[in-house]
Amino acid sequence: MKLEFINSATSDTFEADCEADCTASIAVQGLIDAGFVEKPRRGSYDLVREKTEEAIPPNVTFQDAGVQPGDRLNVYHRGSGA
Amino acid sequence: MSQARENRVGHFSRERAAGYDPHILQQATLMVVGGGAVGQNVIQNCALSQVGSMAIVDFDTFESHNATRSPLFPTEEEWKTWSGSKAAIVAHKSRRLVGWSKYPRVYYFHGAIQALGDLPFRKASIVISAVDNFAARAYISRMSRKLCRPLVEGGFDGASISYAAFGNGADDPCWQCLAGNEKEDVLRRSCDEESRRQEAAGFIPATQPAAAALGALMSEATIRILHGDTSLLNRRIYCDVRTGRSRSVKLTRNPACPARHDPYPRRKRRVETSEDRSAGELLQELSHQFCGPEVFLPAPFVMSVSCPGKNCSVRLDVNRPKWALLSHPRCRACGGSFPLSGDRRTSGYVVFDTLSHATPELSGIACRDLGLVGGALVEMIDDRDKSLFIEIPQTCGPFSVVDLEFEREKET
Repeated sequence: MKLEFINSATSDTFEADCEADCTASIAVQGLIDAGFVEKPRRGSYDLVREKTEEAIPPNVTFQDAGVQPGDRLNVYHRGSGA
Repeated sequence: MSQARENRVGHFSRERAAGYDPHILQQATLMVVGGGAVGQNVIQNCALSQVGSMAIVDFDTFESHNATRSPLFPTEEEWKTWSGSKAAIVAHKSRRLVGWSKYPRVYYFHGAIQALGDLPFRKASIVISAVDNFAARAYISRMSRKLCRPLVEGGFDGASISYAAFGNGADDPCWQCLAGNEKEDVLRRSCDEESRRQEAAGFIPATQPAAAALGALMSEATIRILHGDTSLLNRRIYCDVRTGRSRSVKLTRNPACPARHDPYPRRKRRVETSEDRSAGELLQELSHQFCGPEVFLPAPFVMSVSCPGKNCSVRLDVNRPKWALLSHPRCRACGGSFPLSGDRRTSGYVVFDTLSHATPELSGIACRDLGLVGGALVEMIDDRDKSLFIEIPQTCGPFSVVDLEFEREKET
């Protein structure tokens, strides 16, 4: 299914074709590999479904998270420094 | 009304108008884990907001690179007085900040949070996690969930800050629901080691404005929760301090969460055996009440490992919980400090997760060393698989208290 990812820091968008059984963490790794988001120096990225404003846990598939074709997913950076 | 009395009453007038109830705040006990940039800003805000008690936990010491993000950074003399201990310095300096009031009572512990067991979590109204490693965050989340304490946690990376508040009720998500299986830091690192590692990886440290903004948001969330406001629970707020963009996101329970979401036992039995007695004595006491008791240790206990030195692999006695290992144990010949084991078996890695009659190797070890510390609620099962908590009796508390009166007297 075609999904649109939005980099919350830059508002840039990235369209990708993802399998329904793709997990959030695999998708995030794909976004890093594609250079859409930087490799996190500290912490990680969270994917948030724009329609519901719900975060998708990293080991949950798009299908299980209720993601639909054409959905927009925000990519938020979760820092871990303290 | 005297000027002094008028001043005291006036201290709270603005907070009252803003919806803070001094009585609610003074009843609260906060446990703040981590006295770094974020922790100090939270502690400072909560001390000024006049919470009743604060327990501060940190195992680290202050280093020079902390200065520009540390509102409670010590002078040279203060560093010497408390040997650089972040917990001690932050506790004393935050208490002095509000020397005009009897609140908060400030306690501190210089050491790892895992060493304290359940007691500080049981006593806390809210737990605040301001630590920078995954293992500690996961531990704090697990304990807060076990004892149903709300948890406020946050982190930063450069200008990007985020925090979340977890209700930790039966059906609530936990921190690990969203953090997943990120690789746990096997070893604890000091702030200095961590900063060197991060610099090498191109990490942009947070600035004081980022730490202060995050500290303010986490403090306000804590105060709102104390006042019964649930609107922030089970949400994460992401914010960029440079652009001012922010977003609040709903967190939901992850059915595949690696942390425990099954209910904990309801039954609780207090035992007589204290933390300084041996594990064998505890088992003996339990055997009088239960058939085949098996106690789940709070953390894996490493009895021995093989030295990883080149062409070495001798067996070493370790005898401590896994979380307490700062690096992989090595023998003295390979630059470490661990003694050779009298046991010459070839396989060196011996770790225990439970204590029972099937683990006679543990019977001579003190309960404290196995993590069965005063005030701990430890899960056990009997041979009919009935589970319950046993409560280890509390002896002396591990916390030191800041006593301003005593310090003033000492100074005069």
